[in-house]
Amino acid sequence: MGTERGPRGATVDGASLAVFRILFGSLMAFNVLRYEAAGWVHDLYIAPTVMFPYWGLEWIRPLPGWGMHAVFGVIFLAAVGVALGWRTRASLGVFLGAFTYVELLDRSTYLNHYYLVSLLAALMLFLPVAEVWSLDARRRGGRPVGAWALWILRAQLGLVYVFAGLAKVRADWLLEGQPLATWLGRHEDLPLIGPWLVQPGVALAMSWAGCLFDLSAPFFLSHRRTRPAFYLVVVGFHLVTAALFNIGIFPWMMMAATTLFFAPDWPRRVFRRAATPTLGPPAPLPRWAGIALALYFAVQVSVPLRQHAYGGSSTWHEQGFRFAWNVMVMEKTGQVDFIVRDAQGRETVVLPSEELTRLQLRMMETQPDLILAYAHHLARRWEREGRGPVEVHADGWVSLNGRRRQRLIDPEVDLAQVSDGFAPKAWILPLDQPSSWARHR
Amino acid sequence: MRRLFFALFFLFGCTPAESFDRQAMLESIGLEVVIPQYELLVERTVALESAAATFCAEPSADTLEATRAAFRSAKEPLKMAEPWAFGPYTDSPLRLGPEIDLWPGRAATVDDRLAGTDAVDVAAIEAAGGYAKGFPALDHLLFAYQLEALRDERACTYLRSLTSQIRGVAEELLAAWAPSGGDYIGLFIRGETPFAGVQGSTSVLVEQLIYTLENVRELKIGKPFGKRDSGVVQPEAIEAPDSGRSLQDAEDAVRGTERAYRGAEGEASLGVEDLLLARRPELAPEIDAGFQRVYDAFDAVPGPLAVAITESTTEVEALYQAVKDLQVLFAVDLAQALGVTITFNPTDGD
Repeated sequence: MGTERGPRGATVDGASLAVFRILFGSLMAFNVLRYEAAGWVHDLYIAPTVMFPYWGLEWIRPLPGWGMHAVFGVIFLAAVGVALGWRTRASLGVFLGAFTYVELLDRSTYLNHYYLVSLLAALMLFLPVAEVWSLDARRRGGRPVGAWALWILRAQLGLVYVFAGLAKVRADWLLEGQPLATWLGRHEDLPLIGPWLVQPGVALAMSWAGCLFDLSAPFFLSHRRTRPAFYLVVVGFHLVTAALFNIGIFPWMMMAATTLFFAPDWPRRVFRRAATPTLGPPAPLPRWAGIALALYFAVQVSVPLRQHAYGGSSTWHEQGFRFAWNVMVMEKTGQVDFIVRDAQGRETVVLPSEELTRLQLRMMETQPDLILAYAHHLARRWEREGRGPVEVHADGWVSLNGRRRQRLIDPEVDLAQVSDGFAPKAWILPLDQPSSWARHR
Repeated sequence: MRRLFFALFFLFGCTPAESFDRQAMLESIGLEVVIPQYELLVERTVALESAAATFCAEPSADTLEATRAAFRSAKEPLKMAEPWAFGPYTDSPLRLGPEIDLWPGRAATVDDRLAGTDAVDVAAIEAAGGYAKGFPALDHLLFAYQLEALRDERACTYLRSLTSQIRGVAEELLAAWAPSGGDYIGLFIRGETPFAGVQGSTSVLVEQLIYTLENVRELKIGKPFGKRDSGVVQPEAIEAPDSGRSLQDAEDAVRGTERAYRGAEGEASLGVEDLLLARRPELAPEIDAGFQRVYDAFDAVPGPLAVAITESTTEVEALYQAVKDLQVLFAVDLAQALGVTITFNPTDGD
């Protein structure tokens, strides 16, 4: 069964949704195992004495003791439940809640693909993803699946690709081949291809290829005639990124997710499994759901665009940078000292390396909102120790995408007096080294 | 468009130019800088042990001064090896760092040991806590006590035990790194666990250079100078208070950083600088100037540091700033140019 149009909308085979659900759940369960095996649950959520919660969500705190391991255990079990299609909605709900809770604990651990995991889990919660090849379907029988379910997920994936492509339409990426040129240099020692990777122009060619791939992927995948060949490109592209870059499960997730663009019954054709009879036409999309979806996608379009409202280079100031599919567009190195000045004008230099984990430090040194959060933490610490009130100044230097270093934060500004929020941050100094493209205009 | 054309040309149409061999760089640094540094440490600690034995056999102002000179000389390779203070130095089961250089020392621990009845033979000192042994303990015993006090048999036994214990740890360090021993240098060169490949070793190397400069800036200079506590000087944080070698210790650590950066002498030797010259040559002169500013600033501070932190504050402030400038240059510009990941915790990115 491919697609059948009935009086209440198109009915599709739920097989491709089922395969995606199984792959998604399996991948998420595997991810928990690799986090535990690598010790990251401890390193990221138990060891830190300071966290960087999101603005307004400071009340979300890590659980003490073995609590975080328990949370990851819950994520694992829920992911297995999703893969098996056991109490699928409940499993998805638990997975979504626990996974998103972990992701909201610390901004320094933000990853675009984990944001995508939360979005996909949230969408799947309302979609008929367990009508085929699930324990739920075995128990109560499969129900018809509306084509809209597939299109919702395809639209989400399409947005990710398009915005990831648009994020690469910048001079650094298209004219300097940065940051790929920097990253490829790390692989100079690979057998055979290593010496090629650092040749002039290779990073630039790969940058253009990556940008064009992202921008065109949803369209080539949506078109029946280009889909099979382009899926091979998708697999090749993501395998290369998996081999060259440290981006975890993202390539595998995208290879799994893009199978949703194939005909809904592709798994039956591949695995030669007969269709399971379903009962009647699919439930149409309720009116409220249509409105909710329109709102959802309006938000999904608006949120990535918000970075442009701030002006300047978002890779530099990072305002509106998260949740915007700015995937692999920058390499930053930095260093920041904090100077705490008491009421008598006496200064103390604070090295954040003495308090933060290495990952937190690496992230904080280049991200202004994390620098602000740490400055607030220091002000509170001095206050708590009876040594406040104090001024906190940041002496921070950053290099972006191969540029020479420059100051990131205005050292004259007392960050203890600055509030976080969505308003433009005037205390972030503008990037004064444009790309060669801008320099030569 | 022209760039794109060239990109495709290079991709498919020609043989790649010779690329930089980072493993050869690691090998050169490992075998021509790290191992010789520890060999020198062993050689000098053997000389120190011998000088102490001579002093105890013939206590005199001359033999005491010879022992003190041997101490200063032995400290040089130890401080120059600070960029290599990882692996056998910090990690269990060896964790040799606290055995040889747990600083700032605790004078009271040495005084109490000397005045007490606990054994001070080599075995007892080897088994003692970190503050009772190693270079910091010897710094206090050898320089805070004068000839008459050191003539005492117990003092001399403690002195000889300390020099023997230090020599033993130096030999352990060399053995742990040497290809003929624990071969930690082999793991480093080949990028094997705990190093994540050649890139991982390169990252650790650059990170250690940055870390060493940060230690010089903040722990060796900044902390005693009051930078860490509202401007209140902290003489107790000085690295080598009794020998007055603190400034030299700090300068040796910077020189050790420079040695790792430049590589060993000789045309065939490679250092981090060679990698930088292959990637971003325009940065190298700035780093050269940065090192020179640091050495000039050291020269401008009249020692010892214990006095300078209160009486030569302008010079110490200039030294602190010069080291900071060099550290920022390494941590931001050099790290960016070499594409190193400044972290030991390689979680996922993006």
